[in-house]
Amino acid sequence: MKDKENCIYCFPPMEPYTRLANAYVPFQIMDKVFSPKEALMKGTLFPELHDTYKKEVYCK
Amino acid sequence: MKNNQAELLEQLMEVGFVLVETNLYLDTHPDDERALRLHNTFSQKYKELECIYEAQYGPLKFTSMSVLPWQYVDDPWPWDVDFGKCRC
Repeated sequence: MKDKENCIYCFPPMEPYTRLANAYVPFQIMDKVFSPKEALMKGTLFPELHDTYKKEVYCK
Repeated sequence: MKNNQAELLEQLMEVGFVLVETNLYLDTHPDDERALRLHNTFSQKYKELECIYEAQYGPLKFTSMSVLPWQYVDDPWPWDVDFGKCRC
């Protein structure tokens, strides 16, 4: 929780009734979208779901 | 395969993919008006592209109409198209 950049709990805010030891998926709200060409190349229409593997993070 | 034909097929795949995405999104967000409008816009676009393609190069699906002789079996088959060549 210290580092906002790396904080997975901060966005989007969880509902107040969330319980411990239960799994939740944040509800997606469509914002901007890629162009059809870009979407097909990236494998998603939604920029918020486009997450490329970064070598320095996943290959230590 | 002609350049224009490959280009149309690429556009169909791109718009088709957008429709897969809006379809999945709308399954969980059926009341999202903006997403629905986006889906309908691209659905229309897909139909237009299909129409343009089929008028020039024959049926894309077996349910489409064909001139004589039956064009559905014409080359190239989907796996014979080298899309690497038409991408920049």
